[in-house]
Amino acid sequence: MDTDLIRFVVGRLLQGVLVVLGVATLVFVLLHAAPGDPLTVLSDAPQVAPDVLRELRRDFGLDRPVGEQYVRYLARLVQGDLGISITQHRPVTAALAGAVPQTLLLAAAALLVDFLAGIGIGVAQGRRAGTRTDRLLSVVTITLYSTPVFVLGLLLLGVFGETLGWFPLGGSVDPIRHAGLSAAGRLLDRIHHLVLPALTLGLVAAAYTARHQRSALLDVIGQDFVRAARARGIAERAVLLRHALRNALTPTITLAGLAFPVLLSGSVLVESVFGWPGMGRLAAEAIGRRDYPVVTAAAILAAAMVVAGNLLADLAARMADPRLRTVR
Amino acid sequence: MTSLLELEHLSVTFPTRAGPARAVEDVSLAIAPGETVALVGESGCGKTVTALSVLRLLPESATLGPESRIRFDGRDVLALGREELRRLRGGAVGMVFQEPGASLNPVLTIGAHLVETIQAHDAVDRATARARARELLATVGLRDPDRMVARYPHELSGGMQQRAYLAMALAARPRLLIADEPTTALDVTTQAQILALLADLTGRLGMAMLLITHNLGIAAAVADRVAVMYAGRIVEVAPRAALFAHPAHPYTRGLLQAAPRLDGPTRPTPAIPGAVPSATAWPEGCRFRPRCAHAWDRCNSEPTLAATAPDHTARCWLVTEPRGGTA
Amino acid sequence: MTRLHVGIGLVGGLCLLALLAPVLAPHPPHLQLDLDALRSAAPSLPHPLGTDPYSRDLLSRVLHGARVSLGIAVLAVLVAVGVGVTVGVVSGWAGGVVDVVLMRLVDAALAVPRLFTVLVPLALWEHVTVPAIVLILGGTGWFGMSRLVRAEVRAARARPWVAAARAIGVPPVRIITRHLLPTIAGPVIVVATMGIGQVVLLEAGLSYLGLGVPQPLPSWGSIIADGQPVLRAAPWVAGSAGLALVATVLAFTLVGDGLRERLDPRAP
Repeated sequence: MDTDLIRFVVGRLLQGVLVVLGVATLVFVLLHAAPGDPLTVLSDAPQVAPDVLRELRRDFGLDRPVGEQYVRYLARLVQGDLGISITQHRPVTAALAGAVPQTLLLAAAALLVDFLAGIGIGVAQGRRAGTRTDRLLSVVTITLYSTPVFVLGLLLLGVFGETLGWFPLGGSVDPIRHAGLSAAGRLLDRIHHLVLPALTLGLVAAAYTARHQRSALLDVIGQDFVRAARARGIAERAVLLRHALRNALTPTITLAGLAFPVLLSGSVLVESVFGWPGMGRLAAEAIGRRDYPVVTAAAILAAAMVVAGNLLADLAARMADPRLRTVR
Repeated sequence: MTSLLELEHLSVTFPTRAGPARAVEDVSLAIAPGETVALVGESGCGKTVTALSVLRLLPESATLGPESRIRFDGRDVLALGREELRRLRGGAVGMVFQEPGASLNPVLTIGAHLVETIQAHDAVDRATARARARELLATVGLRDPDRMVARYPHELSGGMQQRAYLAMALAARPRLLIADEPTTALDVTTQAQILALLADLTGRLGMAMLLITHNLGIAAAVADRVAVMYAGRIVEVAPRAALFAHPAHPYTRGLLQAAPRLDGPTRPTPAIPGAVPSATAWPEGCRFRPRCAHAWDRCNSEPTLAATAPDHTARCWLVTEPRGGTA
Repeated sequence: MTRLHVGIGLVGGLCLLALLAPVLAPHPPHLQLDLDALRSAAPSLPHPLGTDPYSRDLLSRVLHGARVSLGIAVLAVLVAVGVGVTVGVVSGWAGGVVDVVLMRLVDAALAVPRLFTVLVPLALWEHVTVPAIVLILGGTGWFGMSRLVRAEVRAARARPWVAAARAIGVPPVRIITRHLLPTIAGPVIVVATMGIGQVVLLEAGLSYLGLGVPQPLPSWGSIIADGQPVLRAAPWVAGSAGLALVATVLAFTLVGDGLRERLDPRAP
């Protein structure tokens, strides 16, 4: 099994690299498909003098043939050079360095909420399929599913932040008191700030997960091996946990891969609602200032995260379901 | 002779969109210790539902008729509490199903299945359970039990899966084995092997068996007594030899004639005309009437089981009124 | 089935409201009324949904916002369906290198979270107008559709009757339009319907961030953004548009779910 696993991981990594390169290519095509060149967008900006623009063009290599630009672009990308932020006048990597871990932290916390709430609700519904509880929970999930993530964020912010005052109104740490706290205090402060954004992002994702989990459990419960386990005298609790749930969780793990794009898209909005210093908020702000290197870099990074997330989800699925271990 | 299993007036009804389906009606059957009884019939006749009823494995929506009685070893199965029922299942009564692949949990190894079953009925530690698991695998004819224990169901062939499942069903040394079409999903050679295994085990372990099958040949090979079901009812019960030599019910005779024979010249096998009716709309009177070549006016009312010989009964007016219709 | 009916009812009602907005709205949506007295005023008889921090009547803004949001979403989905079906058909029918290249690019595009795929062209667009938003939303929303269509076309192409048709010289265009397109209509309609709901969400998100429809055109997203600073004092500002959003997306989700059950039994 080990060689199978290695082959699988290597294969998927290579595929992933190809996908990210594909994204970079699409970005490049988009940049150069626009009339004029990428710097044309700056021509309207009054603070950029025409001869400065000419120099910038030369610096960015925009006066070279397209093919050459593409190769140089990819070469720089592979080396980790994501370009220079137009407004911050420093490498994009530096600009994003602090923000990416914040987004990852938020996404991870949201994923936890997603799994706990989504699987919990889905299983609760599956066990009581057809009852009033089931229908009620369906209403809840379908409403959550239809709620824009920033609306939910504002709702939670309004109720638990502003009205009840249980949670801070934004940011990832308390700007004034954080530095003066003990290590434990700092950790608590971070968690305190993480709760509402993570809940917002996680609950919307949980709505998707709950729907899938419910049907997965229903599928499994009706299957023969569950009845066969009962026929062998296995206790009901073990039947539910070791036979039904164990198999119902596998499709959810596989589908966890689909959660990443949702979480990352949502993070742009949630970070904006809560002032969370992540990659998404940075990208949104950069657009207003037409700082396209930051935006494109964020998009490429986001794609890389999605690819990595899918790989992890598939690995987890392989561990969970022995039938997948001989595939590819 | 006290029976090991007694089914009396068993009736099972399912709610369907087209109305209530009376899948099993007034079925009475007894199995003696060590005896193999084959329950034979086409699909849709209610034999699987009957088998599932014994261990109360029917879906929640199924309702049993008020006169239904199921007794195992003298105890009322329908009155058992949850824990007693659990102990009976896989304990004194084991069950194997038609599709062994579907009866096995894909994420558990064969060993895990066995240990789980063994420990559900015996307070032993894992090491003892694992040792017993390997013994059981050897009993059912699986070579290399040590490797088998670590395999997952999808890595095994159909025959091996069924053998492994049999090992689980036998884990607690049951006195009755219910086998619902245990070989139907297997190829012909494997079928023969599994049947031989079943015959051998029942003999050696002194185990009774209720074998559900649509194949008369299988019944002929293994059974002591044969019960034929049609449209939710038992239509004939007889010892094996008597059934095949002197079938009393037209349906049984039709089944025998329709079975292809390997001896003698090949000739067209006459199928029974018509099809099995739906359980939501059984015909009035004798349920076999629409397909019976001997039907006459008497058949407008449903016959009861009557004896043609001391241990041979059939549900047909021809038994008591041989002059009726075109004999 | 009842889900479908509720959904269709809601969608119909919303579309009606959106179409009739200019007639139903008591005030022009961008009109700033009494700047002193009516700033973030609570709901009252003359202003059933209240007013926003710029003293504009919320009912009018929400109604016109329906027009904007729904209109953009429907048009964008039409663009997406057009491009997606075309690419899917070309890729599925042609096969070979064309198929591989196209689908690899589609895979790459799908790896980027949706909002980011919208942000990138948005960052490069000089002057964002409503048509621009429709193009960007539609132009980034066809990837999944093309994969779906391509799979169907490939499966159909392999069928014997298609080979027979080609053998007797039926032109591919005819085979595609007469025979293949009808079979993919069902799944495409389901995806498109769900897509309208998703684009409404997306457009609202963009407008909330200030990157969407240009002011003073009202969009539910920008109304909500207007309402954030006064969230505690005047929750009706964000609340009215928020409810409208939830109701709209819910309606399209219900319709999409219901349609899926009826038209596309193979979908998970």
